Order: sequence, then structure tokens, then C-alpha cells
Amino acid sequence: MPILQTHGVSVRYGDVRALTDVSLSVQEGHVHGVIGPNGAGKSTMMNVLSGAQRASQGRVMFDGHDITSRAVRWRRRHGISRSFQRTSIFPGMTVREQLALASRDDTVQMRLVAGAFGLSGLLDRQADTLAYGDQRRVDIALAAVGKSRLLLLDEPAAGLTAQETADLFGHVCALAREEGLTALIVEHDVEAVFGSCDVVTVLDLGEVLTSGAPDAVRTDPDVIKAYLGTAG
Amino acid sequence: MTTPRLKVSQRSRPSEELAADRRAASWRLRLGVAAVVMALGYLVPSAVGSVSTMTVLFNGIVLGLMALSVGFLLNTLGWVTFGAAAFSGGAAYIFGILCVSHGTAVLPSAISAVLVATVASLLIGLIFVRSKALVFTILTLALGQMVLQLVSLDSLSNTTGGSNGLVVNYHGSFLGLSSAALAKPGQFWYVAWTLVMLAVIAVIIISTSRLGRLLRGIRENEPRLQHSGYDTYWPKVLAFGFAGLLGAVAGVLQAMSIAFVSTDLLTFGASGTAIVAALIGGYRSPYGPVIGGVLLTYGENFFGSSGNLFLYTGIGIVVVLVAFPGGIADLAGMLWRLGVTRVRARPAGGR
Repeated sequence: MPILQTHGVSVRYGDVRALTDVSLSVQEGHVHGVIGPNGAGKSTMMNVLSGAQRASQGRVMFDGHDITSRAVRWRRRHGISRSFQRTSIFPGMTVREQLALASRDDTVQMRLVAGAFGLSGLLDRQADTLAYGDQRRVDIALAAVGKSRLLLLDEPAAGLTAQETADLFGHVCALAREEGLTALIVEHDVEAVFGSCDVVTVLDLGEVLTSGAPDAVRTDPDVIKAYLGTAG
Repeated sequence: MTTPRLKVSQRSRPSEELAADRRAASWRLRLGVAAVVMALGYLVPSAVGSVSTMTVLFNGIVLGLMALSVGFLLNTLGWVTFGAAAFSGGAAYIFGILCVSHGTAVLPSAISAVLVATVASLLIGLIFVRSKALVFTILTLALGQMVLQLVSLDSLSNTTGGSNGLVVNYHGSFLGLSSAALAKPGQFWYVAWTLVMLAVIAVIIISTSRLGRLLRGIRENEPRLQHSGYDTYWPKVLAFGFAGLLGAVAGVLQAMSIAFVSTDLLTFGASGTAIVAALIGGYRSPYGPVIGGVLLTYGENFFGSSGNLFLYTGIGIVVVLVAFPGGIADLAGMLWRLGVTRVRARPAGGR
């Protein structure tokens, strides 16, 4: 059953088309990856889905309800949360303080998410004293706490080492499997996406090139031609 | 639409309970310290014999209350306001006008002035808090200048006294204090000290409350807080209104003690002095602005007799802020922590 669907979503900046007629379906409990070259419209799509940006055309459905005109706060309160391409945390607060803030003092859930992302030992550290990889995990944990049903992760592996990326995707997949969360991950690291996601969608020049199981997408001639290259 | 939470099987919560215990202990300690400081403050008039010193201390804590208003916005939201005088001076003028033009008794005049200034602060906050930090600062500067110009208008001089100011004649008594008693800092001290300390305690309570945490979240990263599902607009309006309330109380106390209001209370210099007091004392501590207010008033009084008030006061401010960027309260906190560390490090039974 799809938890999130977009129908013909388009976004224009003047004469420039960032997204054109994008239709997407994300199944509940899946880890759904979105890949595409720079300028493909991935971040624009994340902004439309999280409510930070309005679509010029089309509809966004969440759990069977039309949420196209709903604001960021409404979407967050109904289970759509996101992390950011550039780490967005509360630098002057401890990890515990900010997770408590984001979870509305749900300490049980806080502990669960902190444990899932390997932050249990860092709870009393001020966030701006953490290593970059830890800050990325705090960013994603902030999205995961507080009635989250759908995690929108915008390039979560940006700036991470290969090992950190593998660990991070492992944490997200484990959380999705064990807690029934759905994750939509926009990511440049193609191998991490193919290795972890249930479904992969490829965006190119603001349009959906293809969508399907990782193996099918990896061998799709259009994808190889447009994005992965012949070596893929 | 359903919004199920993460499923949880674990039961024990030692880490959270420890953190909650620490927070509760810290909260109790802060209130305990505030109660002790408040009690000690009541001994000041009997300990200080000199009227001039008492006047400096009285004016110092009133300036400190205004600085607390400025420091509260600076600490919780990271906002600098150049318009603090609009609310303190504005409330002083409302108080004076009610007493003089309408013949209202001193207590209802004082309460009405504080209420009107606080409501005005909330209403102005509805507009101002939509702005980013720098624009907010400029808006408050503009507000201060507008209020100053307003009371200086010739067409209102019959009510406001224009550039001559307004001599305030009291009707009735204020909490048992006659107009003569209000003019004596040693007698008015108890009321003023109580209000200043209640303001300090209110700042402590707000800072440690959910609202305070929310305000810090806004200061740290407002867009992220919005993406965490929070409304960030109304907390900012409330913070601005609370700052206005503190400023208004300071303004009315000042007007009551000197029985005179003038445009000096509304100048940019008046707002600037409050900012300087907050910085010197240390705005991160609820006591810092009050300490700063007393130190700055003392410094101005001390250097004023030399005829080079601004030169010497300026040098003093530069020295304090360069040596102790976090203000005097920050320095006191550092010394306290150093002392505690040394006591803990000393071996038991050691010499």
C-alpha cells in the first residue's frame, strides 16, 4: 500500500523547469532511493514533499489524503519528517536536548532512535563539538523522532566516508524494518542506494526516467545511457 | 490520519531519569540561590548608611531590570533590541500622564501603565518578530525614535510636557509608601528589589521551561524547529511581550522614584545604556544584567564627578568587555567552578 504518491508534480522557476510531471509511489515500510545527476530535481522534489516548496502543478498524497497545500508544520505533525542536504541541527544544544525537543519529550522514543543511530553515548555532548559524521546522524535522528512515519532524507551520506555511509544506510534500513518506518532517500552515492533500497527511482532533468527494483534499474539501458554510463 | 509512534519494547530508562534528576536538582538550586539573594537584598538599606550610595544602588537595580529585558531577548533569541526605552520610557510617560492629567491614584496608574506598555509590546511583537535579526534590530531602533518624537510633539505638550518633561504629582500611596517615601531610595528599595528579583525568578523559570527551550531552539535553528513541527511565531511574540513587561516595570519604578518623566527616558542612549549594562553584567545569567546595571550606574556616578564621564566610562566598558567577554556574571561563574573543582580535587583529610 502506498503511503506517499505524487501525481504529475511540476515545479517551475520562471522559464526553468525543475520538475516535470513527476509521478511517484512509495510503499509503506519500504526504503525508497532516488538518484540522479546534479540538477535532476532531487532536492526540489524533497522540498515539495516536505512542504517547504509548493508545486506549480500536480498533487501530493500522503496516506490517501491530498496534502498538496499543507504546510511544513502540518506535514511534520502527521508523520512526514526530513533531514537536510546541509547538516541542520541545533549546534548549541546537547544531543539529548535537541532530541527531546524534536520528540516532544518522548524519552522512550528518544532512546530508541538514539540507540538506532549509535548516539546513546553522545547524548550529553553539545552538538557543535561532535565529529561531522556524528552530526549527520543527529540530523537524521531529529527527523526520525516524534511521530515519524515517512523519513525524507536529502543526501544523508554527503561528506561521509564509505564506512560511515554503509553504517548510516544500515541504521535507516534497520529502523524501517523493525519499526515500520518508510524512508525516501535522495542520494548521490549510487552503490549505497542500490545496496540498501527496496525500490530505486531515477530522476533526470526533472523527469522520472524509471522506477523499480534495484537490479532492474541498474540494468535499464536508458539509465545506463543517461546516468550510470556504460561501465555501470 | 493515523500517526502511530515507534514501537518500543524496552522498559528501563536510567539515562533519561538521571538527566531528569539533574535538571530538577539544577532547577531547585537556581531557585534556592534566588531566594537567598532576594533575602540578602532586603538587608541592603540597613547595611548601607549613605543616601547617595543607596541612590546609586536603587538606580542600578532599576537599570538592571531594563537590562534584564534586553538580556532576555539577547540570551533566548539572540536578538538585539535598540528600542528598550520605548517600553520603559513609554510606560513611565503613561504613568505620569495618568497621575497628572487624569488625577489617577499612584497604584492604579502604575498598574495601568505596565499593562498598556505590555499589551503594546505584544501587539508590536506581532509585526516585529516576523523579521530577521538585523531588520528586527533596526525596527526596534525606529520604534524608539518614533515614541521619542511622539511625546515631543508640540500638539501633545499639554499632556506630555513636551521638551520640559512632566513633573509627577502623586495621589494616594503606593503599597503603603507616601510620595515622600517613594522619593527615598532606602524606603522604596524593598518594593523595587522585590520586583527586580521576581523578574529574575521569572526569567529563570521561563529559561528552564519548555517555552525557554523552544526559544533557544529558535535561536539555534528556526527552520529546523519548524521542520520538527513547531510553531515558532507565537513563542517569539510572547518573548517580545515579556521583555516589554520587564522594561515597563523598570520605567514605572524610575518615574515613581524621581517623580518626573522626560524625553531622556526615551532616547537611543537610554536603550544603549541598557544593552551595555546587560553586556557588562553578562546577559547569559539572569543576575548578570542586574549586576551590570549597578556597576554601570556606579561607574557613571564615580566618573561623572571628574567631568570626563563618557571618556572614563567608555574606557571602563572596553576594559571589562575585552577582559571578560561573557560579563561579570560569567567571570563569577568561572571562579565558582574553579573553586568547586579545587575543593573536589583536594584529598580527604589532606592539609
